[in-house]
Amino acid sequence: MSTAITYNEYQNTSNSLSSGIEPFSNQIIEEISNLLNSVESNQSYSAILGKNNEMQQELNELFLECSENDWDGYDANSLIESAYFEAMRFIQSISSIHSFPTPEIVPEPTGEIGFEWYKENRQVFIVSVSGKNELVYAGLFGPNKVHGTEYFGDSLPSIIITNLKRLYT
Amino acid sequence: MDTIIPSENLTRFIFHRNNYRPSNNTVKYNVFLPNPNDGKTSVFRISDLSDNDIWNIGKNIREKPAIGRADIISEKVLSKNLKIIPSEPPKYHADISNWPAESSEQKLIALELAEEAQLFLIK
Repeated sequence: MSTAITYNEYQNTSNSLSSGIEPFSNQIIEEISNLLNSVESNQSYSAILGKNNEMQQELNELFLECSENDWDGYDANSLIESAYFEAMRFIQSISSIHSFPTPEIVPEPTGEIGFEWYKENRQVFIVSVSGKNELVYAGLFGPNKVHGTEYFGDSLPSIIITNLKRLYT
Repeated sequence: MDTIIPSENLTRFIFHRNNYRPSNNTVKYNVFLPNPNDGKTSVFRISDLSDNDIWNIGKNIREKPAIGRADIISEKVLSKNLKIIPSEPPKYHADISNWPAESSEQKLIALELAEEAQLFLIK
């Protein structure tokens, strides 16, 4: 007497017999998929943390180096402490957007702290913080120029992202 | 005091490593930002000077010697509606003045000047 089975049942039975291993159940596949997503997500998180730490370290070094007046030989102001804390906040905001390269941190003679994305000649965008909840920005995009000031609240103003996209897309 | 003509060469001495990009030998915008106390950017007029003469100025104008310089032609400065005012002593010294009051506009001009400047590092 024979029993009718479906093609899929045959395939599953056949696979089990040939490999000696039970075929993956949907539940296991789902678990592996979740695990892979989790690894991928942790890698992204690590990349963000790495970028964040790298910028924090650069900021700390610069703050120490420019903590006295005249650091530039032209009687510049020392870096402003409130600008330092705002720069840390800016780093946290910007490092979560990992599609953009890490900016260089630039001390300014006023004691403000700048972040510079330099791509090539006349392709550059800068954002400065001064501890006043403001982002002062300027950029060159070939023959086009932008500059302005935006309030820096809980999140990064969209114009900053727009200009970075302009530089890198 | 004589007037500075557009074809005249100027230099801004560099004393800090963060004023330039060693990766591609270019100048950063912060080199040209005006001093917050007097609103001026100090430069030297170098058209009539040899390379040695220029570096000698850079060695002696501050306690520590200059590590580099950013050369720029006056025309590029004047085209931004800035003024270059001779201001001696020291000899050959001048100030870039008439910077706009708005900080973002200053940074934009400084960015443009940095793009036009040529970096020389001390050997």
